[in-house]
Amino acid sequence: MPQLPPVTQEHAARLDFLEGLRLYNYRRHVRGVLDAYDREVGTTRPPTMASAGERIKGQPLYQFAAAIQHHAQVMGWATAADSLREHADELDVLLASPPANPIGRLVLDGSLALPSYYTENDEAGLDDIHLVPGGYWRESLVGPIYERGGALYRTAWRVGYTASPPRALVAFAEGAPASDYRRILDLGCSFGGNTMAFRAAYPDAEEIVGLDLSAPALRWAHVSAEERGLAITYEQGDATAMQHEDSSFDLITGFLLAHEVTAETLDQILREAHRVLRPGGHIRFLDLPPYIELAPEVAFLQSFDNDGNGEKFWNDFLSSDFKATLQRAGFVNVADGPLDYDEPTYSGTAALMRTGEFRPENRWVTQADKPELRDG
Amino acid sequence: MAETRYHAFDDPVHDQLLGIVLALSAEVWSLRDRLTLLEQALAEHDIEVSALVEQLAKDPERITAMTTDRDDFLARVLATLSTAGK
Repeated sequence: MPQLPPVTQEHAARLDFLEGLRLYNYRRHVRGVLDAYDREVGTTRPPTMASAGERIKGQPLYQFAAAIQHHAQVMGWATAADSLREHADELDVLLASPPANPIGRLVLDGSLALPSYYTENDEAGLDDIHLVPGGYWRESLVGPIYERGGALYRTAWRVGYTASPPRALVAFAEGAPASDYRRILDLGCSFGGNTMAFRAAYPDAEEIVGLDLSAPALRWAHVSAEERGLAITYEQGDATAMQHEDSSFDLITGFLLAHEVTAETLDQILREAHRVLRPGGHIRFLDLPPYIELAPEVAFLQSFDNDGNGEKFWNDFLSSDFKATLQRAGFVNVADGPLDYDEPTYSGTAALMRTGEFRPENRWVTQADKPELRDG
Repeated sequence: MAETRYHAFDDPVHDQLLGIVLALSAEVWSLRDRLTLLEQALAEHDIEVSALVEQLAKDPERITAMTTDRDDFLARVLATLSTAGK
C-alpha cells in the first residue's frame, strides 16, 4: 500500500486508546457476558438464537459492551479521518494521479448510477455501512481512512490493513479448486484486498478483475496494487449488470460481499455471475457462517453487527440458506464450511465475536460450479 | 431499514452519556501519553521534571491557587446542571 501520512502524537494516542478499548471490551466484557449466560442457563440451553438473545440482551454488561463497541467504531473512523484530513491535498493528488507506467488498470464509470440500498442510509443521515461516515462512496479519502480505520478494527492499526493481508484471505485464494485459472473476477472488491490475494495466489492468470461500485475505493485499490507490483484491473461497475461477455471468467469470487446486499440484489448478482462464468467454472465466496452453524448465544452476539455496525442486510443473509440461493441461480456442487487457515492471533470478524479467542468459524466458504455444457 | 441511529440502552441518552465518557477518556489518555513523553523529553535534556513536580505539588501557595482553578474547572464541567430544574 502507499505509505500513509504520519500520525501526530495525539492521533496515535487516540488510536492506541481505541485499540485497547476494543480488546478490553472483547476479552473482558464479552467474555463476561458469555460467562454470566452460562451460569444463568446451566445445562438448560435455550434452543434458538432468539431465546438465547432474550437471556442476554437485558444484561447491563451486554448493553455496555454493545455500546462501547459501537462508540469505538464511530470514534475509530473519526480519528482515522482526522489524522488524514490535514494531508488531504497530498492524498487527493496521489489518488488522482495513478502510477505513470501501471501494470494494472483502473477503469472508472462516471455515469454509473449507484443503487439506493447502497446510498440510502448515508443520504438519510442514518448509520451507514460499518458506520463509515459517508459510506464507501461519498468521501474521496475513504481508501486511506479505511486503511487506517480498518486496521484499527482488526486491532492492528500500527500494522496497517492491506500491509498485512489476513492469512484467511491468502488461504481462501489458494484454496480454490483449480490452479490454472486464466481470468478471475472479484465481485464487490472495495479496497481490493481479496483481489490482491488472488493475484498473489495466481501470478500466471491472464487477468484478474476487481469490480466495485465505489470509485474512491477503487482508486485506493489501484494505487495499493501498483505499489505492491500486482497486475489487477480495478473496474467500477454494478455486479447486477456487468459489461463482461458471457462465459468470460474461470473463477468468480466475493469476500464479505454477500451480506452487504439485499436478498433480491444477491439473486441478481448470482444470475449475472452465472452468465459471465464459463461452463465448468467455479464460484467461491468468503463470508460469515450462517446462524444455524453457531451456538444460539454466539449467533445472537454475531447479530450485533446488523444494527450496531450499520450492517443492515446482515441478519437477513445470515438467516438465509445461501447454498439454496446459489442453486436457484443455476450453480451445482454447492458446498460450504469453515475456512481452514492458520492465524492464531487473529480473533475473528464480527464485532462482539472477538473474545480474544481463535474463532475459525468466523470465516466461512461457500463454493459451487457452473455446470459443464452437455455434449450435443 | 432502521429508522434511527443505533442505541444499545433502552434510553438513547445513556448511549450518549457513555459516548461522552469515552471521548473524555480518549482525551485523558492522549494528554497522559503526551505528558509522559514531555517528561522523557525534558529528562533527555537533563531536566528531571518529575521530582520537581512532586516538590511543587506540596507548595502551599500553589495549592491555594489550584483550589481556585479547580473550582472554576468544576463549574465549567457541571455548567449544564446549573440550569437544571429552572
